[in-house]
Amino acid sequence: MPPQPEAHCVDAASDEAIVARVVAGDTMAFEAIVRRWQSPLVNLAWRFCRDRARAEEMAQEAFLRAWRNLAQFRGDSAFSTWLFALAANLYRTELRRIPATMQSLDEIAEPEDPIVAGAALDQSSRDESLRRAVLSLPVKYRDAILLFYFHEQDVPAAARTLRIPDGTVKARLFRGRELLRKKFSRARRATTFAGVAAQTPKEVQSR
Amino acid sequence: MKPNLTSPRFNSPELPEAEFDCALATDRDAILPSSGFADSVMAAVSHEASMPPPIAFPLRRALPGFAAVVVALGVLIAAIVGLLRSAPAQHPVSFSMSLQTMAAPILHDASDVLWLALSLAVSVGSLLFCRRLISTR
Repeated sequence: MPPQPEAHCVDAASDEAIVARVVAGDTMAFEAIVRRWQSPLVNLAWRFCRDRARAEEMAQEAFLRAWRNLAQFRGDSAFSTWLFALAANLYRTELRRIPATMQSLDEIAEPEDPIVAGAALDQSSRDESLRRAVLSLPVKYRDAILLFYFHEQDVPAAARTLRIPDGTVKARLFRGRELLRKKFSRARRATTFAGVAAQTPKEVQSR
Repeated sequence: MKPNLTSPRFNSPELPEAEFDCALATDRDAILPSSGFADSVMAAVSHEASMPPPIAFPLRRALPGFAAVVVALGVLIAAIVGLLRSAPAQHPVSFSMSLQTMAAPILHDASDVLWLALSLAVSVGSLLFCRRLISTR
């Protein structure tokens, strides 16, 4: 997850100092960058693929690419902005190459056993279904939603990472959430009705 | 376990905005990198740093070759343009043109034809020789 804003400001200068050392030839100084940013980069990858092993592989590749291209970091923006943009770009390319295992909400709307499925649809499983459903959205909406929530609902930060205007992010967020809500509501309605139908008349009367 | 149908979560088929935000919030959907992750990244970085830099393309050595190709192409284009200009303007180029008409600007007499045939024979001979050498290996 991204660090707190205050911590981020304090760390930005040291990030740039470390980058300068690495570019000057001190390879081991890069470890400080890896340790500081490993959690955000792994979590960003996790959001893109929902597969822990693959998330770590993609994050490692992102760090390697960052190390190779460190000399290209000019300091025009914060190091984190540069790093997240590089990582997001890599993750999107990787997902184009090998798509993530997605769970369509249309699929979970027709469970084999509605009683079990209805009971199992507690908050955590519903949240996980929703997160996986984000991956089934068209790419431009998926990326906007993933990065908006990754950046703790900060539109400008998501826009900087995606290198698109704020307005475009807002429009994609709106459309993506509409699509997701529509699909998710349909799935929930089907599951709820299945749960009601499964109850005995006595149970319904007692309510 | 039956779902709690009196809960607002199940009564409303619509997904409230707050629940949507909550489900996708960062703190609710985070994993920790495995303990050896940073070390494995640094091992990969060190491995890459220890490798020799990639061999640069030998531009200086290739430059004469590039220049020769450019000159050859220029000569070829000039020859084609010259050939087209030397053709009689009043007779449009036709696909039914005979071989003799096409060859006329290039081949002036019988000795030219002989030389051309000889060069073609040498080319075919060397090609066949090369193929035989390859096939015997």
